[in-house]
Amino acid sequence: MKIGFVLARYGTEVIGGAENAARMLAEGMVRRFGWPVEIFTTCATSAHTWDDVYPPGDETINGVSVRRFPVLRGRSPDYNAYSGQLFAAPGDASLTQAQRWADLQGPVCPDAVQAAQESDARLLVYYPYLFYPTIRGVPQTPDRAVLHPAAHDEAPLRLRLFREVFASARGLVFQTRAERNLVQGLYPVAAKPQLLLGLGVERAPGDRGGARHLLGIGDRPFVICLGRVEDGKGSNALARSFALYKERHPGPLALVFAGPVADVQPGHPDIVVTGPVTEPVKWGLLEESLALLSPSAMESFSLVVMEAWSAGIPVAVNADCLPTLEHCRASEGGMWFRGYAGLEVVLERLESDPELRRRLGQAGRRYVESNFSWPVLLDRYRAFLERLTHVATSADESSSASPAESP
Amino acid sequence: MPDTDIDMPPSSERVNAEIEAEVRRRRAAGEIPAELEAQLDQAFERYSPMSARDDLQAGLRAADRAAWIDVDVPVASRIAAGTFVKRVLRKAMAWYLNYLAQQVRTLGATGVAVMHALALRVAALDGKLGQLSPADPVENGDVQGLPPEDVLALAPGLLARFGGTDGRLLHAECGDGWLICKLVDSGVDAYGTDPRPSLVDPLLARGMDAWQECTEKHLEAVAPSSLGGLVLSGIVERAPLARQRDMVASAARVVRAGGRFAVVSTDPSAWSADQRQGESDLSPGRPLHASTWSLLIERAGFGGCEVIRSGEAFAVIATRAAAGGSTAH
Repeated sequence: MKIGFVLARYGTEVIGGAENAARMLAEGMVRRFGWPVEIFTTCATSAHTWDDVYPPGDETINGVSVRRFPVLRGRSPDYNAYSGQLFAAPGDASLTQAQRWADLQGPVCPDAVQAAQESDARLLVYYPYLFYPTIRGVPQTPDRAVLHPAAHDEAPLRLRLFREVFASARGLVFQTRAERNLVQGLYPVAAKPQLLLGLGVERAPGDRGGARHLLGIGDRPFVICLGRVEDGKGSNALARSFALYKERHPGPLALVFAGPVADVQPGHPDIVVTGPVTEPVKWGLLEESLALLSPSAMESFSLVVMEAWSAGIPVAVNADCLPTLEHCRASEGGMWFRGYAGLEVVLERLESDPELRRRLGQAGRRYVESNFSWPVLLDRYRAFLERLTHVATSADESSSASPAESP
Repeated sequence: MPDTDIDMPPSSERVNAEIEAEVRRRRAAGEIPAELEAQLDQAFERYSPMSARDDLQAGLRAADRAAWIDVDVPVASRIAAGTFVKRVLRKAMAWYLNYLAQQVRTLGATGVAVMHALALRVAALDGKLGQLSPADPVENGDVQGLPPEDVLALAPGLLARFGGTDGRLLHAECGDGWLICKLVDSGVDAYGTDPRPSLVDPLLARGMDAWQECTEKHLEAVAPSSLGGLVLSGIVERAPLARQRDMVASAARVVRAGGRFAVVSTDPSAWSADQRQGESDLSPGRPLHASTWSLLIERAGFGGCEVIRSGEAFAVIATRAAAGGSTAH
């Protein structure tokens, strides 16, 4: 069965939760089932500018066919001001205003949407809900659209523009119950075929020596915050809170930010910002750290939390982030904090109680192994997609159409 | 109690409760500098989820912070003498601004105190309302509420009538999937809801579409005329009469014209049988007779009511009237 993916950006160089998730699913389907997968995307890599970086045209990445189209309009200079205007009361914005906002946000790329529409893919997977290709594409291909919203509890989700997007989708795939409840609370999607899937974790060997060398802090203990270093991800609040913690708790503990830097954090002798790291170094950093801190309140799944548990270390998450809180409660492998005071007590416990760290880490690892292994997830995803095509075929009274191909 | 030697994880709820208790203690003891904490909390809350900002407690925390008026106006300036002039003005006007600020702070603090008092009253009223309408014993975990054999034996009859459902079918309080698994196997696009995670999680693991949610909450969130079929069981036996009527009204809203609807229940006379006494004693409502369900269902706009029986269980099955009023069978 041929599957198309319609994405705002795609590539091994693209860093982003939803984009990575889409790539892993696409590659997994090719690898495990031998299904042809075609990506319809832009030439952009940055979600801040949408500037064309890749050349337009076709290429194959890890067995997946990728068709890239130039961005007609990227992020507009007016975007931030217009967002501020609309987001004070997003539910009150008119449809025209919301559509203008979507266009200002970018990437406006009608060619990618049209190519997907004209393709012979049985189903078109849209990922995430937020950008032009999904906003325009899903309503144009309602019978084939499988929407992975990757929704956060944020203002844009409340723009009425998305009512049509969610209503048009043939099926929905959520990463956590919290994400599904969030969407369900805003749009009546309960009666649509849907799947709770999550993401798989592939653990790679860690380069602990390389990780320590990169940090340059000798054998000092550290906690790690992995992923984009960005104010919106809570990085700034965490850095400032950690600075106060160290004032009140002098000692060797350091904080490491590892990932692409979007917003530079204030300098501090106990805070190390590495920038992007290689996979072996990433796993080495996780294995060496006391715990992973996830200060972001805007996650729809959080792969890094799973990776930390996979490496056997505990996590501490922002209690306002319902998906990561859901993982912590379900796994018994994490702690949660709200604001500075909570973080202070959590850090004290993590620093002083190695037995607690070990047990939380082990519980988290068991949770990942039981629920988020790629083969299990891919089989469930395949069953869902096959059911969708079967139901769609039945609904069209065309049961004589060719059945889904076997792998 | 300390954790035992076996590798059981510590309860994260317990650890986090300890953390929250310690936070409260430190705040009460004034161990954390309030101003610094407020600044950092604001940094976290700046990117907090929309719904967290709408939360009453979050609103109260924001009101607490806003009640503080800072009279220490910044004096930095791009003009060379600007800083000096501003500093002089600040010093000269300090007595006046402090006088005003003190009154505004008192007003703010009084207003916030009133809001806190109101929040406590609202919480108390919520609690009392809950007592007026006792919680469902199955959702509460007081009883298991598993369907008896007679109900399970209705599956073939239901399967025969819902087998060719056109559109999505919901089985509300689906239990262990005794019906939806068979429906899915027969090619129906069926999904289920149930309040018990112990029943929902295995269904999810089997690839079924199952939601851990109570029936009424879920029905509220279903789009009008979006279901091809609806089967209600479990809660329809235990809910008070007003809620039973509401569920039928919800069914009429969500089932599309020509779609089928069933209520699966135990006969009232058999409900307090030995093995279900806990459930019948603790439930806020009681089952209705098949004839009563038929009456309510027909009044809600369904037609062609049919009752199938298995021992002491029954299912009332009806079809949603088409727009013109005719009922398909």
